[in-house]
Amino acid sequence: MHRRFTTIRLEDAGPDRVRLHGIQGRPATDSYKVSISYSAGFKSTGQVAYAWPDALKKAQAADRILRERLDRPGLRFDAVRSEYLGASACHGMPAALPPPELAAELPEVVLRFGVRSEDRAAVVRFTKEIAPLVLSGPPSVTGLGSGRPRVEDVVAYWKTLIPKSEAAPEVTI
Amino acid sequence: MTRILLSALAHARSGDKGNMCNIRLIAREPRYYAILVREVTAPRVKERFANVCHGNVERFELSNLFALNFLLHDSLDGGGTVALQADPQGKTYGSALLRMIVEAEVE
Repeated sequence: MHRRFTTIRLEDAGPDRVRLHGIQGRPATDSYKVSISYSAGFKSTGQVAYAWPDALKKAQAADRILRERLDRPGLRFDAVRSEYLGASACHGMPAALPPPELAAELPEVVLRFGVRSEDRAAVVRFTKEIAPLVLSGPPSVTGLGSGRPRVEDVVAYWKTLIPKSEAAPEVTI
Repeated sequence: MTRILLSALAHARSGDKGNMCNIRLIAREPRYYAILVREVTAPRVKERFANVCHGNVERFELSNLFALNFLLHDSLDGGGTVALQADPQGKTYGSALLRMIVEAEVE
């Protein structure tokens, strides 16, 4: 049975009580949803924290250095992404960046950096770039404690619908 | 008419469906629902999420719940396990929408 959200009726039923009624359904459809996982390369994400003062500027400088270090050997990535946790990462839009005077005073900013590639060797090379960045990049930085970032297999997801007539459900315990 | 932060009129929850983000915007008072319908249009939501949403934005009206439901297609950096972003499920997109400034006839 498919319940339809557009048919729910809400009614105030006293303090901290809401009555829901009038909910209608529709018969089940004639299709099944199929969820398929497939292998889609490799990825790794690492993060390091920069402390006051100018934490954001230092994290941004580190990002430039890291990108150059990955460009130079000609590594091929399907995606490279950097984010600044504590400054703008979640809302992912320019309007979310703090104004410069506030940015300069942030207690810390975490540079979160990720790569994805079909080429596992390129991703492994990336994981080796974090330590040099901490040791010879912008100062007052931490986050090396847990070692190199892990290389992960990317298991991607694809969904579709199939007619129920194409499948014979069977449960085995 | 006053310019007001959307969070004063509504609250929001969001999450993922593959590479789609689903944002539910719920009026704090039934009387605010009409303002949401007028101000928070699909094109304005698309504009708000231009950096992350590379597909269409669909809007569904649930007047019985005083709520709007938005589907942001191709908006999660590939989605779930593929994404590199800090929020691959779009759980924070709801609060990103609440930062929008809207025109409202409230005190």
